[in-house]
Amino acid sequence: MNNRAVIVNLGIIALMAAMVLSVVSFTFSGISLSANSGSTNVVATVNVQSTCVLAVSNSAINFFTVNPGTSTGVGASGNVVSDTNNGNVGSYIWISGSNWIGVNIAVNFFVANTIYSNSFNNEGAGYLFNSVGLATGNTGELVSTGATNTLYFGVNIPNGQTANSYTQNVVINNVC
Amino acid sequence: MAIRVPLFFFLLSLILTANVYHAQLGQAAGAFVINMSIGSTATRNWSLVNTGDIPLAYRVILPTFTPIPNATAPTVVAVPMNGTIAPHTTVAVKVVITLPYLNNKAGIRWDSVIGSVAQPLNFTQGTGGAQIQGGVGKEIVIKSQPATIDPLALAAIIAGIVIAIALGIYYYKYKFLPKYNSKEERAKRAKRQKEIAKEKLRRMEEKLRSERAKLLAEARMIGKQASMAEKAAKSTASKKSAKRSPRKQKKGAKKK
Repeated sequence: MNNRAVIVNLGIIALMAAMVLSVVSFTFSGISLSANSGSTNVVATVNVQSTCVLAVSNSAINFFTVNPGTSTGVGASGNVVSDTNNGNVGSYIWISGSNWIGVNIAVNFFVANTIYSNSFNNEGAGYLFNSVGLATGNTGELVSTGATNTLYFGVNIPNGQTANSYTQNVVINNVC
Repeated sequence: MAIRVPLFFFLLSLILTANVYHAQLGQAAGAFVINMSIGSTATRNWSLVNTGDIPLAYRVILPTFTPIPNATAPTVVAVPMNGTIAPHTTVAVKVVITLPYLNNKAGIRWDSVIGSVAQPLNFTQGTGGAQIQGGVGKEIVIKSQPATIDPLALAAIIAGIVIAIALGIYYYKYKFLPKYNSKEERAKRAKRQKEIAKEKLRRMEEKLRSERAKLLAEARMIGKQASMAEKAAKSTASKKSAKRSPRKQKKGAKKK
């Protein structure tokens, strides 16, 4: 290998190292420094704050067309939300929602018709299965540090519900 | 040359991934557990952090407490309610919790979560289906305690009473009494008392007059009744004597 090639390769390696270092980042608070008397050592203490950080996988769930008096089941048609905790402490998933409102706002149905589970197509005993409420409630689902948990959603349409396009808001909070 | 080409493409891909920035909303761990006296207010600082590389817009969702019969739920206010957090930065949201005094009692536990959801800077509310918003939440646990009197308020009330009494004494001694004891006031009072006494006397005389008239009327009535009774008695006696026998009448006449 000639000198020019060596120089180019060294430059490339240096560039790679610089880019890797720039991507790494961490959150910290409170740095204190102290010096031991009679020595030149300096002790630095870094206090890392306990945090939980949430990232959810999608911004909307489309249940498509559902007939009155029927249920989609939980998780059908890919109706899932993944919750990733990028913090350094575990957190619990709390959930709340609003009532379903039709395009004509006089036509709506209650938020409790939205159901969720921590297991695909599994409802009832043995699973974290419940209805979404107006007041935020603890699902009991623990998201560990760096982990991703999935919630599977479904909706029950009341008997005789008027045909319309309905929208609701669902808020998912990681609580730590 | 053959070695450097793959290396070049590897570096290119690294450059492309390194340029994908992200924003993530986090918070400091730990719930707000507060023992609150009824009628009191508590303030806490809630730290929100953007662990990502781009600014993050957020908004706060205030908690909703499950209603408890015969109790008034706490009210929660957050300042600010929304904002933008710079990359790798922490902001503090001030959370003010008030436990109303009215219709509340000690020993009740209130539990809810105040949430903060991340919103893209160009967020627009979607329609149709379930619109998902994710964020972090801070659990707020409130345990109500018996009401306590604020020392400052108590001191203010006591001070107010003392000042009111002092003002009252001052007014009485230096404003009211001198005026009360002045010559003009005494003369006025004496005149008033004289008039009152006159009025009383007049009423007594009137009362006596009317009672006297009543008594006279009664006496006349009695006198009238007595004279009528006398006349009636005389008339009865003469009738009786007229009914006696002619012989007796003659005897009576001879004797005469």
